[in-house]
Amino acid sequence: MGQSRIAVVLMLAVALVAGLVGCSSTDGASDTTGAPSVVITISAAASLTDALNEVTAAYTAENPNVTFSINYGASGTLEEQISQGAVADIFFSASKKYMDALEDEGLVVEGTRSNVVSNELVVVVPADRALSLSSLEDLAGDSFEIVALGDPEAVPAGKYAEQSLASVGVSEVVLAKAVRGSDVKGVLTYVATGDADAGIVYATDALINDDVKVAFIIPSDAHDPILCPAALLTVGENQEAARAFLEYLMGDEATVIFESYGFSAAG
Amino acid sequence: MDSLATVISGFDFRPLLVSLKTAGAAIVFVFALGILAAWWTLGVSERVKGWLDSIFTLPMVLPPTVVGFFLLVVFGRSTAVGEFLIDHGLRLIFSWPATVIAAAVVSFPLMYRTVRGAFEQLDQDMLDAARTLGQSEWWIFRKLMLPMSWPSVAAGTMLSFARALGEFGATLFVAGNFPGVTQTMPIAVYFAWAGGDLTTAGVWVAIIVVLSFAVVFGIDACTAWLSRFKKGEALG
Repeated sequence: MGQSRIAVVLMLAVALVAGLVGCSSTDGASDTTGAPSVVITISAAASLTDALNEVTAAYTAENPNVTFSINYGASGTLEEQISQGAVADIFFSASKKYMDALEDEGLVVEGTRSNVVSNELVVVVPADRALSLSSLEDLAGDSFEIVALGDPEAVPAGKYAEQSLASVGVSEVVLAKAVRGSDVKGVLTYVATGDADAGIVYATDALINDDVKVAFIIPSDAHDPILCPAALLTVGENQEAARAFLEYLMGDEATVIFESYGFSAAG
Repeated sequence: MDSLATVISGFDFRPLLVSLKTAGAAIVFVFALGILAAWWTLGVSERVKGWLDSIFTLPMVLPPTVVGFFLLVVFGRSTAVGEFLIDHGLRLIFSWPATVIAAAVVSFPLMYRTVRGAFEQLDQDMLDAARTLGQSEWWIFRKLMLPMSWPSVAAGTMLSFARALGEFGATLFVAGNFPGVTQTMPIAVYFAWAGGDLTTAGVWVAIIVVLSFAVVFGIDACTAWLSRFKKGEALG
């Protein structure tokens, strides 16, 4: 009898502690300067990971009361999440298609959308392989058994890749042996580990991963322009702070950081 | 309905075929290995039994993504083991056999535990009586243990089949999203949704739900039918 009662008390105690921990919030807490602390939520394309992390860190260094919660993923997946009710202050996509979709649904704050950076598409191979690839047509050859792409429906890099392949007429052959990643970082990993013989990713992704090397840059006329727009979302909870950050994102300081990762300013 | 007809006529049913082929192949291995593993652990010493049991049950307890990660490490090119296999012609990552391996590994524990539970419930006196009569362990296994455990073996098989059908995390790791080759129904649901095609995702969800119901009804019906004989009702 005594044992079961102790067990019940213990369980209640655990539940109580868990409840307190889960319910605690830091809303309204302020830092030493007295300004209320804000957490800006951003849903951003996977290709922007390293650059955006540095940009937000730089912003926080100048504005200590602002921190960020960033959800990286394939732009298509992120767009679906937001469209189904996910809350974010800013959407930073790797293609205009998904920003257009959110605009059509009325989820974008008018006048806040702008192209931040542009990127290039490259074909990469595992770093330890001999390079025998100089054009997209080569991908159709037998020495490339498995090619990695982003899923064209959800991943902008995959869509651009599909367009590029179609522009030289090898899309059917290559797509038939293509494993589709759920985001561009996944595609990069497939090639980096050597499980795929080649892959199509952004130039910026190839730069930061030493296990892949660039075979060649895909001519920009082979696909839609790779422009990355950012915008304020109507469902965001920190409109003012987010708006201020958006301005910073378009500014010179942020541009320098993006360029150091291989992006180009979207002019 | 006009729209229903259009949806069906243009629909890519390959994930259904891939899933059925994969689960079908996996269940063959799981059936044999699960029963044998259950029989094996019965006969070993207590200490070894504990270790064996944990190893055999582990894939069921680990998150599927962790299982997938381990499989990738074993069969992928990034490790010495994987490179060795690949150099000898066994390139498994992103191939259909990888889906079978992933499905078999995660559903094996279900078969193993169900059958082991049944074996342990058997009347030991009866088995010992057979031993005193000079029957071999293999005869006892074939003629006594298995027949008396059929309801559990059937239930275990169907549970494993259902698990193999529903496998996502490990499959995505080692087999990837390769339409027509490794893209199973659960993977198709995810990528259809991610690509904004909610109609397709919805169709697959419906198909999977119907299939799963069929499997569960199958388990119950099978078990009931086989248990009928144990209770002696059907015999005159």
